[in-house]
Amino acid sequence: MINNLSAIIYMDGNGLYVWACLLVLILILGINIYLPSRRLKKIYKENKTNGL
Amino acid sequence: MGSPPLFFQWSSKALPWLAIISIIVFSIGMVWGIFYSPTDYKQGDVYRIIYIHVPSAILGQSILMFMAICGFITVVWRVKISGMLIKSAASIGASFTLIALITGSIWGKPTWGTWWVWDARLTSTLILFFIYTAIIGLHSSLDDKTKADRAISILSLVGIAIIPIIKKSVDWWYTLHQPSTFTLSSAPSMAPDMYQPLLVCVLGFYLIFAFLLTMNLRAEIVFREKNKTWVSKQYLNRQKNDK
Amino acid sequence: MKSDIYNWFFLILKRDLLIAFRRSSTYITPLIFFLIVVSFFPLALSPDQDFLRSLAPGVIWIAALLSSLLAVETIFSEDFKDGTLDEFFVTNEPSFVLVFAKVLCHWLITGLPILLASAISSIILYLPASSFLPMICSLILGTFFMSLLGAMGAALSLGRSAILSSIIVLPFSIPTLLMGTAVVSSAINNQDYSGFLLIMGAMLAIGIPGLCLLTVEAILLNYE
Repeated sequence: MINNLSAIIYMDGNGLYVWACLLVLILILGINIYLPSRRLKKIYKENKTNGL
Repeated sequence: MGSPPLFFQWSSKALPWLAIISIIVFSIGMVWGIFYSPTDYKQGDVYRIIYIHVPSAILGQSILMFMAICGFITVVWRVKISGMLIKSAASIGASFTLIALITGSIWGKPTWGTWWVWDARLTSTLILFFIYTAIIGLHSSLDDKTKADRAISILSLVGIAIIPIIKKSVDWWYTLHQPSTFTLSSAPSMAPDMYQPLLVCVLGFYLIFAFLLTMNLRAEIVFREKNKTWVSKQYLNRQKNDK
Repeated sequence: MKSDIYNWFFLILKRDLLIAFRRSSTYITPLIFFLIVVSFFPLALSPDQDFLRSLAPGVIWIAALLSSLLAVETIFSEDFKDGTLDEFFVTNEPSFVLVFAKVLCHWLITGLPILLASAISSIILYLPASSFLPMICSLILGTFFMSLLGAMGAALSLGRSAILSSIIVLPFSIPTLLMGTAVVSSAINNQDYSGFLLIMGAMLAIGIPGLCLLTVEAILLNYE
């Protein structure tokens, strides 16, 4: 169990790697959430401008 | 639920719940693993990457199996929605495999000293990624999307048949060439304190997959049926609800 | 009736072989491409004898994979374009036999030149003579599996670029590559290589029915 905040960030000197991995995860999952919703909204907008 | 418009309406109501549940379980698993699990005596705190790397790898392979099952349904019973499911799942599977590759590489730097090692697991994950890109590339290159769905059904069926062969042969290939300085110890014997958060993480990742799949599938359905009246009605409903 | 299927099979085989032989480029190109690829390795790396000998099994197999993918795009595309493929599928004859006959023809046209090229390459890469026969055996099995995979890739990307079918086919050909190089490497070290040949044979045994059926499905996609 990690006890204090500095130990969490530092993680025995290898904190950079762990947090980099977490960043990669959040980034790629975020892209996977952002792209479909943007596509959906784009189709709605196109339909609207085409007057359907 | 086999008909796309019905699925779309059902998922519009279910999506917020799915998002909430998946984010909750995912966060519980990640926080437990990264902050509260005990420190490994060999690797220190770096091993915590396992809570990102292993679930991503598991998901990467399970998604291909999911795509193969949907592919079988598409080819045999010509169900439209299972074809769209394959296409929606493919990019998610590729993303998870990519996460597994990148985090595996980042994990390797402090523990093995290099950014990449041609060991059996990383190599077969790389090949899995190539299979995903082949499927995505084939689908995007065909203009008729129903035909494209059936084409990637065939490809995912071949993929699932060949994955065990690839894994076995890569395992064998690696034992032949394994340099004796590396003794790669993977997860197997883990203390229950470390194992439990991993299970929760895997569950959380599966729920996240369900959420992402639903989002992708909704976008795909609307894209394919954008000229139908139910889509424009949906948009008007949304506008009403937003106001 | 049994004799009907054989007649159909030999009809397609003879027709495709005849068409392929009319243009000598169909069977010369794999040979030359193989030799060019093999020559690039000493040029790009080093002409040192021991170094090349250690590389030889892998280089020969990589060149074999790439060469057998080269000619695959024409396996269905010409017949598709001028409508003969439609005629073949409209008849009541089993389409599985058609695909198998085409694959066999493709293998005869490209596999045999590859075998010849590999024999030449084994000399220029200083491969020990003891491993020559196992290499030929592994290449026979491997190139046939590659022709099967290539046919399926060509059927899936019918009318599209050849690079796409390569992207589709190459990841699936990795087991063949690993097993084939294993045969040659163990033969060099005087170890028993029969197990690997058996595995390659088993992959063929599953591959012939499975991949031919999937290829038929893939071609039928274009007629929806």
